[in-house]
Amino acid sequence: MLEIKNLHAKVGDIGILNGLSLTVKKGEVHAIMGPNGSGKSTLARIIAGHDSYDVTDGEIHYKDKDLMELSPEERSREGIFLGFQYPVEIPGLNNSQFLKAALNAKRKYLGMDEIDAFEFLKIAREAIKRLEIDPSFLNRGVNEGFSGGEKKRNEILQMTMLEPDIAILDETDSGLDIDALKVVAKGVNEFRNSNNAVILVTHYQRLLEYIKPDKVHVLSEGRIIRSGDKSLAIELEKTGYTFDKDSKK
Amino acid sequence: MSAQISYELLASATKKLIQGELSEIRSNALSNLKNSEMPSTKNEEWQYTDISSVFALCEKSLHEPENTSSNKENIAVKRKYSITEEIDAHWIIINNGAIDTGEANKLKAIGIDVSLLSKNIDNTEVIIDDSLSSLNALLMSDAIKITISSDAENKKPIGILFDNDESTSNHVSNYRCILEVKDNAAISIIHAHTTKIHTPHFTNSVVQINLGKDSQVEYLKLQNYSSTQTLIEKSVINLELNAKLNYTSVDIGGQLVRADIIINFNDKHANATINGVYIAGKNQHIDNHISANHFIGSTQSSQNFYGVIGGNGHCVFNGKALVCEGAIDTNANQYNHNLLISENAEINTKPELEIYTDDVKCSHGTTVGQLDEDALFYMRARGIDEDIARQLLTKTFITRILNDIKIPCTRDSLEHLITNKLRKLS
Repeated sequence: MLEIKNLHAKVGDIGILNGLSLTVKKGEVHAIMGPNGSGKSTLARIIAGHDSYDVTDGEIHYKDKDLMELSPEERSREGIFLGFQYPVEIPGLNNSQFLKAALNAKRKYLGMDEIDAFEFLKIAREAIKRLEIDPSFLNRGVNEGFSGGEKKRNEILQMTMLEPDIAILDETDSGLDIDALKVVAKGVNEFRNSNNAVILVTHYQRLLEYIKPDKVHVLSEGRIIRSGDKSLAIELEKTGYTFDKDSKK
Repeated sequence: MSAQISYELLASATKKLIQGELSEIRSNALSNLKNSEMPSTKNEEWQYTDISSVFALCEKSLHEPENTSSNKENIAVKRKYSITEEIDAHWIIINNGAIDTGEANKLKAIGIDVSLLSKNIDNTEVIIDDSLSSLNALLMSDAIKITISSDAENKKPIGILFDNDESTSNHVSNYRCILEVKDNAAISIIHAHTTKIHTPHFTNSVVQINLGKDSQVEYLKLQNYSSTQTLIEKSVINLELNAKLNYTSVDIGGQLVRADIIINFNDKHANATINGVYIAGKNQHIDNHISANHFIGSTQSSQNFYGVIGGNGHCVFNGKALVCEGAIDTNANQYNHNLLISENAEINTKPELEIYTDDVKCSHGTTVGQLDEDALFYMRARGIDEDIARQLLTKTFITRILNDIKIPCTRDSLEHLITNKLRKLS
């Protein structure tokens, strides 16, 4: 579904990704772990189409398309979802308008009619209930005055409603208490199926207790230095990321 | 000397006008004009707004006396206006200085009196305190006077629409509206400047509003002129004891627009919110000058203007509060926020305080910025087109002002007008 080959990216003169390769297939959950500054969020943002990075080499293929040719909105409509590490507050635009605009953009792209107000409310309310979100949520400004936990739940709500083919969740677990973490994990587990894929970008093994990954990768200095199954995450928890320098040899 | 209108031309062209019911007002106006100059960019209050182009239009009009509006038969011509169909209000349409008397008579039954000043000369003060208001008084075909009685019905708003017959080749229109809101009355008013003229045209408008004791007025000024039109409007609003005004100006059209909004707090516990939205694009210039004059204490004014400027649009905001000696417990604030969505967009903004007493609460602030790129990416990452994301973000910026307009029947029209305007803006 997603194939990244030898990706190099810079911000200004600083190389952030230095030859990263990764293949994600349908039905898989990948966890990308690594210390601060290893390039995890950069990778997530490049896949979503953020333009503040200069991709100098390598390629990304998604469903046999050259991803770099697509705008962020086209990527979204093609089924790529980025759960933001820091979801943006948009005062004055209510969640309901925002979700409806996003949903309709995708439907239009797929040649479907706009969703009618009744159907929208029905699916939004169901999703809200499952994610244990306050029903007043829909009428509030997008992330406006939301707590950290509410913002992350809102990301999962958007993911649930947009039904992407691949969801990249950038540190969706950071800043969550254990209850919120469980709710987010439940949302992701209900979302995953044999036709979609999830990439979890995280610092900590904690999230992986609730969402079982098929593959775990360790990112360091802009490149994947180790890959394994979920036991790798447990090992990392014990040893930290200090081993990475040695393992490169 | 800066650009002017020739006094000799004014005097000779208006000889006929200085007769009839409004003769005294017109003579006074003419003598004012002899002794005063038209505003120019040399005046501090007009430094960013050059209106010299309209003087040539005035002179052109004066050279064609058949078109100066006075001596025409006052016949109200029924025409269709989109605004009167979209907004459910009691519309008072003034066509070439004539009122549709049928509609005006209907309003009498609900406590609203509509008449022409010439038919009802009383002790109404007609403001001629500067050159432009004098020019207006000299050249106006008539003024409309609306009196809202204490027990007037307030189910539907009153709409005021001045129309100018496009079949004539008028270059200049002079509108004057005097609104008398009696003690304890409550009313919603929509003042629409929406009649489009597609040739160079100057509208010189004066609005006088008096709010009696304990009265409440919800006022919306909506301006959506074409790109060839100039509007200069002076609004003078007097507030008596406990009077409450919620004023919103929405300026989205016009080539050159200048509004002077003067609020006089004449007694205690008078309260005015003066809000505004302006959206200017290619070749547009919109200037709002607001003066809240707190002559008496325990009064409150709040100015909140939000602007969106694109293309080579240029806007000006000058929000002033004057707190006179002894006007203690005055509460006055002025805020202006601007979104510049193109490189050549320009704003000159100045909140201003002039305070001659202690024990007052005054605050002001102004911001100028661009759209939040992070919010834009967030929306695009959810599949929303960049153009639509920009429009939605821009609209949210002004939504807070639109939400404060308490005339629900205007909501859809405003939404529609603003969405269309933002679509064209870049």
